[in-house]
Amino acid sequence: MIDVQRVQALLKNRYPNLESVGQGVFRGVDRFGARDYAIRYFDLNDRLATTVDSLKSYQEEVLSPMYFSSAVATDLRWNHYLYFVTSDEEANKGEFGRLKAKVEADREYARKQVVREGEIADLLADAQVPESLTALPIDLATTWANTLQQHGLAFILDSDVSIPDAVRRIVAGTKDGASRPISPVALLAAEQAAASHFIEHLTIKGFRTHPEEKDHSLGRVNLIVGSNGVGKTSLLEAIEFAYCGKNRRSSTLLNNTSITADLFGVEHKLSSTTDATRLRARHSNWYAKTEVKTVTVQDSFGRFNFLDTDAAVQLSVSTSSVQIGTDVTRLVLGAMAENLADRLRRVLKQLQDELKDLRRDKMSNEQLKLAAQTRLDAIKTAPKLSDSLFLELLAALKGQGWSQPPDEKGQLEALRERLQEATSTIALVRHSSISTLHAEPDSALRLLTKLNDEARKAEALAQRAKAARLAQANARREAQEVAELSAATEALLPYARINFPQLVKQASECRDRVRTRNTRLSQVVNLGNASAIQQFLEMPVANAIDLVDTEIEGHQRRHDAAQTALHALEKTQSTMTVLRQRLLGTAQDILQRSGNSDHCPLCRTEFEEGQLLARMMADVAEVTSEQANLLRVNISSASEAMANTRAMLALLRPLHAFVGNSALTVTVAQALEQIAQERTAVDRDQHELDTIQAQALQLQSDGLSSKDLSSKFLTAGITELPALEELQRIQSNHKETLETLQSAEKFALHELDLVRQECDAMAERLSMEALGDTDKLVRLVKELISAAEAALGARQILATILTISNEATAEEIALNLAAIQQLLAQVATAVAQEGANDKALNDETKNVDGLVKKIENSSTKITCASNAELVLKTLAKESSGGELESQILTENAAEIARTFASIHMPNEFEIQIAQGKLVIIRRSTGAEVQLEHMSTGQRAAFALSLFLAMNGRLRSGPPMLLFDDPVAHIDDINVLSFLDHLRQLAIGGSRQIFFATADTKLAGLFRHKFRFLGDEFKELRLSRTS
Amino acid sequence: MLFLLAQLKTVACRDNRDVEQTSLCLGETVYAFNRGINSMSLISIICSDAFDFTEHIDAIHSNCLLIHIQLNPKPAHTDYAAYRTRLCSVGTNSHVELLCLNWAKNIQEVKAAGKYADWNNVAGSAWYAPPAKFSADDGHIDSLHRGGLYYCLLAQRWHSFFLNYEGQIIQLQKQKLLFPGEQALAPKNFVAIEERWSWNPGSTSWNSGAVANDGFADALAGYHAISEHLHLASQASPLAVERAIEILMGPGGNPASWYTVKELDAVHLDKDEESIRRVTVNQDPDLTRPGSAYRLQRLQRAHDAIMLAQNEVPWPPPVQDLANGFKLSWKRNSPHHNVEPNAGGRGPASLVYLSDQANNSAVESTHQKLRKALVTHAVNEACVAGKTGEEMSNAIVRAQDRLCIVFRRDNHFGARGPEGTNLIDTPASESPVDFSEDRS
Repeated sequence: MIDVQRVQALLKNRYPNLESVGQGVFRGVDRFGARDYAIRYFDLNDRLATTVDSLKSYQEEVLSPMYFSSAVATDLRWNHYLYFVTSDEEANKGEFGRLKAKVEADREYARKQVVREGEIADLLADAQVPESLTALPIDLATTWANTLQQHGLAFILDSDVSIPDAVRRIVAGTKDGASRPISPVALLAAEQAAASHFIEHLTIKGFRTHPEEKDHSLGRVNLIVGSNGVGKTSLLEAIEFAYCGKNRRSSTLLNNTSITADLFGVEHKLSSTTDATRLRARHSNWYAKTEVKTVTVQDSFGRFNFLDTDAAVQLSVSTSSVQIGTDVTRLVLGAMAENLADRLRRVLKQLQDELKDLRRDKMSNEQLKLAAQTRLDAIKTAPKLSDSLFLELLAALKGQGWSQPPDEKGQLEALRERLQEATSTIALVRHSSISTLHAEPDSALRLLTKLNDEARKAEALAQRAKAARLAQANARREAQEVAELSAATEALLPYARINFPQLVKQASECRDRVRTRNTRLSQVVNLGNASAIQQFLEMPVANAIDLVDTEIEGHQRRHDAAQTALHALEKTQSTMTVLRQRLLGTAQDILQRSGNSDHCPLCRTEFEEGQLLARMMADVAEVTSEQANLLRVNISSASEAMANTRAMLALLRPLHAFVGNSALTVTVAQALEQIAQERTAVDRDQHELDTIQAQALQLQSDGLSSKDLSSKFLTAGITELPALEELQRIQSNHKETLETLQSAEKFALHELDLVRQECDAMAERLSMEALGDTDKLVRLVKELISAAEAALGARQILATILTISNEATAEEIALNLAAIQQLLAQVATAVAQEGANDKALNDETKNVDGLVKKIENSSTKITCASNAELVLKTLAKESSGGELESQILTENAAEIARTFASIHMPNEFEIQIAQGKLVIIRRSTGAEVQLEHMSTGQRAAFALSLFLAMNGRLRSGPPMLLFDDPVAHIDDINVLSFLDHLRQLAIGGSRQIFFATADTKLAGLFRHKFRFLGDEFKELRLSRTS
Repeated sequence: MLFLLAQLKTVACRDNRDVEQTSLCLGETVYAFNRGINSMSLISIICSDAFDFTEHIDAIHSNCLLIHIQLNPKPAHTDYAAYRTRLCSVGTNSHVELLCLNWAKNIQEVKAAGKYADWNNVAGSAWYAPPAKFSADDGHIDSLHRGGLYYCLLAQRWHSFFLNYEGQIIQLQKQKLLFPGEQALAPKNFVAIEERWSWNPGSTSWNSGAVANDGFADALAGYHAISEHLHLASQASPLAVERAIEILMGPGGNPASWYTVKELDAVHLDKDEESIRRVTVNQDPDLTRPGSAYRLQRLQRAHDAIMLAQNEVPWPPPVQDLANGFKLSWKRNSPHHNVEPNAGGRGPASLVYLSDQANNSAVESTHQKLRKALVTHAVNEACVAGKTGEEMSNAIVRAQDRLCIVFRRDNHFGARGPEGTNLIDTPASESPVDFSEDRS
């Protein structure tokens, strides 16, 4: 049973205006200023089991009058709460858990909660936020910095120093000097005020997507709405920038970025700055953190004021426990801590690698040193051979009679050159055909002179042979030419004998004559019978033609006149015929019309039947044409006369053409006579031509033709055929010349034979083989001379190098020289070997010294590095074990648990501290639950709890809470809890809240929950166009 | 007394004894006089000439007033209706008006042996006007109603003004058929009643100023629950009564403008028989005609709805006050509300009574439709009043409260109230169309 009196008293205490709205049901209204913001119903009937089944109607009955009342703001509809207070006896019944879950999951009308009687006091106290620890939680970076400082390793955390650089410094054992004392920098008035005042007005200029100036009026709670990408996060980051001068999320800043915050009730404005001193001062005063180098105030701001949404989201969705640990660390210690831990781990890793390398180096150096020592000893014990070999060499040289033996081993190179020279000269001497080794200068000179004489003789022989060959060749060529000429002349003889050109000329003359006459006669060739022109015989031809022409004209005229007359006559006749026909028609007509057809109407005469008509017809037909016939006769006679005359003219015209210009004088008879004469002449010439052509045909069959003749002229070199005698004379001349030339050739051949004999004799004398070739002889002799000269020169050079003993042969000397060369090589090898040994000795000694130094160096480094490794290992272990994190979590466990409980429904989990660590306990089983086994929504709620707890610790810094779409993955009921929690914070007034979201539903709920603040609630609607 | 009736017709009319079919000498020529281009004309069609009129329609139907004279027990007979349909499609844009005159009611036919047969006919005299000639103003329609001209809509948005069947004298002011040239001011009044006289048998004289009897009072006689206040309401505005019942039946048409005259279902004439469906116009003695059935159904539904207050209806909490009784009422300033509770002071509400003829989806869609209409109206009103933010939000949320769809299933009443708007995790969106949201 519930102690209704006591609970009612508690309620009355909390809500002085508590109303009873039904049996055992009370209503309390939460007010803020002049506005209600929540309506809470408390059911003390302890009849949950029966109420559940009719929950809807129960609510409609109890809640609806106020819910639908037009007197209350509609926002309150989303701020109804219904608490079913339950006694412990009820709560212990088996069904209770299910009932509770069912009731609390119902989303109509009011947020419902089933509370035990004992919990009611806590629930009512909920409004008061307990004062948490005043000091800020410890900070990883500071702790580590201190530890490292003690070991002089502070530079490891300095981000200016690269990791390999840091490792080098550790190994080198470089210690940091004493840390600079940090003189605290005072805050400006605005900065001081910023730690405790809200922003009233935010002016953004040149930040990211805000190139122009933007002005935002802000309230205690600010909802920033807009779809993705319109600048919600940028707005939050502008606030971050105003405080920190930089952003965690890297951003490109415009040159003129400036953000100014008007603080509520404060005269000075807080302006963004990038001045490191100012930021350092802010950092140290707001977040109690001193730093020497990089300013990381934005990291602390993020840790306390600006929910790291990425970490929160990752914490809720990641599946690996390692990643979850990292995310919790990031939330609790800040993003910087993660970087630092990461850096530390990397330094440690590299240091360990380095240490391994150093140790391996040291080991290998020691091995190297040992090997070098061994080699050194071996060199020291090596023998020396060069001296004895050199003595041997000197003895050999002496034996050979060397003129300038070397004094010391250093001259071996010169000796080798001379020896080489001697070897080559002796080779020359050996290969010379003339033995010159022991020749004296005089005899050698004689030998040379003799050889030169022989050479001159041979040259003379060669000259003679050449001249003879030339003479023979000339004679033979000329003889051939003459023989050809003679043959050509011989061929002309038949032509000369028959006088061929004369014959050709006659034939062509005769042909011309015949052609001329034929041309003349062709004009009169058709001249027929001349009897028609007998009358004109005595008349000149021209006159006859004129006469005939005149006659033709007369006939023509007559013919034309007759023709004209005939035409006229015919026309008249046809007219008459027509008229007659007409007359006939008329008459017939008249006859028909008159009564009696046999009665002439003109003369009244009476005819027999049909006679009158017959007469009329006969009369008309009776016309004749005598005159026409006469005229036709006339025309035909004129035509006949004209034809006769034209025939005469046709005979006369050729005659006129034949006689030509003399037509005026020559009579027709004469002309005829001339024609007859011409014809006779033609016949005669034709006959002659035929004779000549027959003769030519005969000659052609004998092989004589004018074409052949002209080619023979070309061969014989003459233009026209001379007379026969002349031709015969020329022919005999040719024969004489030929004989002379043939004898000259014979003489030349004889001379050649002589020369060859002499040549062979000479070759035999010089014991060579020339085979009669004089040129070869000359060449061989010259070779002999040069060989002798070379051998003699070589012998002279050899004499300067060594003394040639009389018994020695060239072969012997060559063998000795080869032996000496071999010996020399041995000496040189020995000398080189000894030099190398000396150098190696030096090197090895130095090597050993160097290695000893290196080993010492390594040892020092290893000591330094091992020490540092120890320190870093401790820190790393601390970090991965999460000691700091646990410490912070433990410190804040109460606050985290409280927040978690208030923003997480149903209360499935409980946060406790066990063995100095924060653990999450499942209420139903009492077993510990790892984060990765919780749902994403629960983890998201946990992340928010962590952040809100951290923020709760902040007293000295800006009183801000910045959320950027924080409730992904949280289910709707828990979103409501979270918003209620925020509302509680807002009412408390210690925090200015900025809440950005793209979710219109969430924005709507937020509006319903916070609009009661009136002017202190601001909604910033961002859109692309604005 | 001997009556001689001379009819000059080109087409014979059919009657039960086929008098015309067998005895009428049909004319062959139609004479048309004074047909100048762009001039007005008057044409008279007598009775069945309309059947054979089609070939002249195109030629004659411009700038003319057609007077169609009939003596016909069924003036809305299919053949005549076809003629009017044809006319509507041809004459819509060419200044044609049709005045169809049928005999008044109470025609008695003389039978053998001194007996009379009642025609029980439909008078059906009406003036038809093309769409552009009348602006359908509420006040004007109501005032014509009082004067005995009842407004309805014919097919193809033609206006029709049905004449009261009683014997009467009406003085009309009629707009000109045609205004050549431009008009400075062009009110689309079509016709207005200046004075009306009715016959007083007692004094055997014509009395002026009488309100025409539309028969609504008689029709309401059977529905005591609604008769009184609906009769009063119809005297104030017959259209308001039509609208109140229209919502009750579940409004058709566009949710935002269903209440305009041209979208009201009742104002449209029945498609098949051209019978009037308005509940406030009851001249038709034949209760089997579609219009009469329609009217009766509506009246019955209204009556049943009023009786809901006395039944076990699970009224949703926001309209709980309806359980204490309400009456039908429609006001222009809250056009989507149709009931006024008798007590409670929460103002008018929207009530749809779908009886037992609606499935769940019909209930849901009706609810959505009205909700949307209510919210849109609230938003518009708030905007006009210059309200923003919280006040606007209040207006939107409250607009959805006073709406209830009642239906009956398995002999139990059901009610669809503001479901889904009372969830703590679903915010009231600013507007059903959500125009504020930038979705780019």
